Amino acid sequence: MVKNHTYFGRSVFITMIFLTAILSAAASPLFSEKVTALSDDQRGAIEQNCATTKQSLKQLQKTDARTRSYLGSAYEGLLVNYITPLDLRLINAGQPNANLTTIHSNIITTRQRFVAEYTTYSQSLEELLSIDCYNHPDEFYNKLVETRQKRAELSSTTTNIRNLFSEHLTAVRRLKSSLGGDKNE
Amino acid sequence: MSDEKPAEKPAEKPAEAHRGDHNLFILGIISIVIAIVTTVVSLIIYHKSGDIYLDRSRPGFLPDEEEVTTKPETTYSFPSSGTLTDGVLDDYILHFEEAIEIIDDLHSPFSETPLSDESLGIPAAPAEGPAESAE
Repeated sequence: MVKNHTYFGRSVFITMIFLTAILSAAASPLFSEKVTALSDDQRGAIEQNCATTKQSLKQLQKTDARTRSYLGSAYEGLLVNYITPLDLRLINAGQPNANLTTIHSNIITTRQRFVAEYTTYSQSLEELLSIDCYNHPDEFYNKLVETRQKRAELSSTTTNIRNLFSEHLTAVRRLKSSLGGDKNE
Repeated sequence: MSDEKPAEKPAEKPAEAHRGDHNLFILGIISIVIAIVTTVVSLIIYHKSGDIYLDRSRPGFLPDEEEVTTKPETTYSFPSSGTLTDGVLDDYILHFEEAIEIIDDLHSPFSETPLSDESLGIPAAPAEGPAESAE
């Protein structure tokens, strides 16, 4: 009986240590922030507008999720319904187009980058929301700057994908004009 | 003369039955601990992998009613087999341009404006000079 109790106590102790290790690993990024100096005016404004700022950021988080979903479906639709079938059709017809294939693979890579960057940005935005801007305005501003950079990268990636779709369209037009010389329907 | 036996004292549970109860209790506790640990681990993985940010079924991020009821506008799909002619490519270009408009409907997605100092009511940083020391 005593032996069982000891065994049970040891198992619970080991489990607790395991749980603590997991939780501290998960929480560690929250405590590794650097704090930059702000002017008194800026600090005051952050403290004063803390509640409003948080509200706007929460709203932004929702809008961003919606935008991501919208763009994600649009990219997916263009790849699945247009770009991939055209590439396959060219290969099946024995006329593979290297330019179109390169653009296709660039679109896939950039789309993957878009998902990864959105995830990092969202993580940063959530961390920003978790900071108490009233008591820690410097830390809040520091995180805000970091989140801004991540948002800018994400924005630039969406522009890149859009440009790649334009490039694809141009390549298809070029292909059409090259076909037009041989056979007109 | 009756065959009645003298009333026996209620028998104590044998030691084995005691051990069984105890083991059952331990089994229950261990199951609960395992359930908690696996749930915590899966939530950490869900969070760390970033899937949480792509998941719109979490509370507060559910699609609006209008999003759910709106049907996809285009169901066109370019056939992946057949001959490639001028006309086929014309059709492709026409539909592709229409599909691209869906993306263009969103003006400057993830623009810098919502996170700018101005939008958040933070005054502009003072001109470069010796940095004020933080308290």
